[in-house]
Amino acid sequence: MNIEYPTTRDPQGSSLAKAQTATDSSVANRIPPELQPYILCHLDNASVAACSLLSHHWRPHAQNHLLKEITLIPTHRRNENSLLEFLQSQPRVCHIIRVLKVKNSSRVGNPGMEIPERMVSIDILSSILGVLPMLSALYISRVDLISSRPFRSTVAPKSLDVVNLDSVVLGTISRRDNSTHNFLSSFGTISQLITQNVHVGVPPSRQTANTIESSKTLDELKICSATVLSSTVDSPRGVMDTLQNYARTSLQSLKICYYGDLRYLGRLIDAVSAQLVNLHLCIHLQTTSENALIKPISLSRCVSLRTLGFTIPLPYRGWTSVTHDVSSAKCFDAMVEVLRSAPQTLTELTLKMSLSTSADRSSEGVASLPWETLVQTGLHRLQHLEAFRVNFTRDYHDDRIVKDEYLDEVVCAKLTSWDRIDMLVFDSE
Amino acid sequence: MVTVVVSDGVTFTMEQDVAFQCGLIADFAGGGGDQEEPIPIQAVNSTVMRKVIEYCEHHRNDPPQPEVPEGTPLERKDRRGRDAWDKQFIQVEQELLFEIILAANYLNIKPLLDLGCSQVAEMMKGKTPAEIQQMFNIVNGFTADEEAQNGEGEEKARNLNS
Repeated sequence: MNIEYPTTRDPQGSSLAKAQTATDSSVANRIPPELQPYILCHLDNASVAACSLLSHHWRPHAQNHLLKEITLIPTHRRNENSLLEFLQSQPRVCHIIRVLKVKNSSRVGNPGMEIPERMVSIDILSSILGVLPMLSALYISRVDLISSRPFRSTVAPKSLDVVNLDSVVLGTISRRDNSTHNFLSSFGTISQLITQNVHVGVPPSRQTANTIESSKTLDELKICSATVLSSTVDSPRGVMDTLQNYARTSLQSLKICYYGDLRYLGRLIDAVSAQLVNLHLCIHLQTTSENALIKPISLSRCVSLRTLGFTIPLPYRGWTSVTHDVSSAKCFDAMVEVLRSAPQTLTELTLKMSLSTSADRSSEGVASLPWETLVQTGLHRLQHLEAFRVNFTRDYHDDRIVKDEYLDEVVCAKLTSWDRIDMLVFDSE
Repeated sequence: MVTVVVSDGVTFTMEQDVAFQCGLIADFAGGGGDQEEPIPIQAVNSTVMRKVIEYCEHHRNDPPQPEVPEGTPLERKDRRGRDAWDKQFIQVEQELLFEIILAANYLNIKPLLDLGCSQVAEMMKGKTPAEIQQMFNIVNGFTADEEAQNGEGEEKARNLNS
């Protein structure tokens, strides 16, 4: 850095100071309002609250920062009523709130502790959503959404970027009650819907399902990406029914981690297949209905498929990118079987080697997999293949597992008969 | 090489990779080769500019920051770690600290802006409004009614967030 000084030095210390009004001596007050969020984002809520009391200059951004995310903890019914009353009395605050979280953070059953209430009225929650015009994300976890009478939304459909339901029970009062579906259909466009362990108290009857199918509101509902996670065998039917209707119009990406009856899953995939371009299935097969999947899974327009623990052959018509999670030698066999009839369109094949036992993950275990068969029946056929990726997922809890680099060498040694070995890529997580 | 002339007439010449960390200078120079005419930086004086260049020279080999919409604070994961050098660098008089922040904003150097703002936040953390007002010589200008309303509103806000 070279510095040249002017012939006449300006003795004035600060040029920025000159630009300020003479009456304002505080440097902190000279921070333009648009820079205050850069400071506030480094502070905890208590310090931001303190900033909101500094001056008229600091107040608006500090209040916005403080109130953009609020959490309702339903330890008592009066909490949700109080929140609604507070919001109804503060329309300016309502325009600030971007994120609403409803969560039961207490652990149920602590000795000597009163068991906290975990029920939230669908009616009140819907009213709260109705007074928050700028809301973009709704997170609900570990609560029961219930309605003491059949619920019907009285507010305009709410469009949100994110709706995340985690361990939520959607309660209905009878099989003919549409409360759950009416609540879900009170949403407009949802960019991302994520559900995990969601239970529908009473599954909708066939009649209810027909009603939903003809509902104009649901036809207009748009979800771009959805994740369905379920760890219980008996709950998913209602969720699947709902999602099926939700997703019919625009779902492009679907991730399903599913332990339940595959017939419902098949129906869901069948319903959304026209638009789907990404499908990620993590399925632990516990039923005998594997065949139920084969027909619905023939998704002609899908281009990307990822499976976990999958042992049934899937027709890969039209797919260009496939990722297999290989958790056992059996999965590897299934994958090789699939590649026998894999389409020539396949350009990228990825094996995520999440081998679950030490024996499988040993160099002997990896070497004993039928790599030669993979080359002969699969890789040689795929003329358009541009990359074959192998990724050994690490297990930090098992020191006995050999180094990943060494497993890479084992695979290379087994694939020497493949004449396009230069396409082999080892990825790391 | 890129030459700039600041408000008190001092001229600084620096290498392009140092100068182009300032978004304003990069835009001014159009990303081209050596700049013949000095670029006028009227909103910054030589004392502040010297600190800015010191920062840019130290970080000249850092990877480029991800693009974020204007006015968006850097997410925590995107922030450059405040290493020991940064911490030492930003230990300056309060007046100079705020001038560095304003200069970083004017010159469009996001990481320096974030560093300066995080230092101000550090000074504010855990303090009462009165303590912050005294530290930064802030006159609040609230009426008695507004003061009462403030207390009530903040109490509710804290309850909502607790």
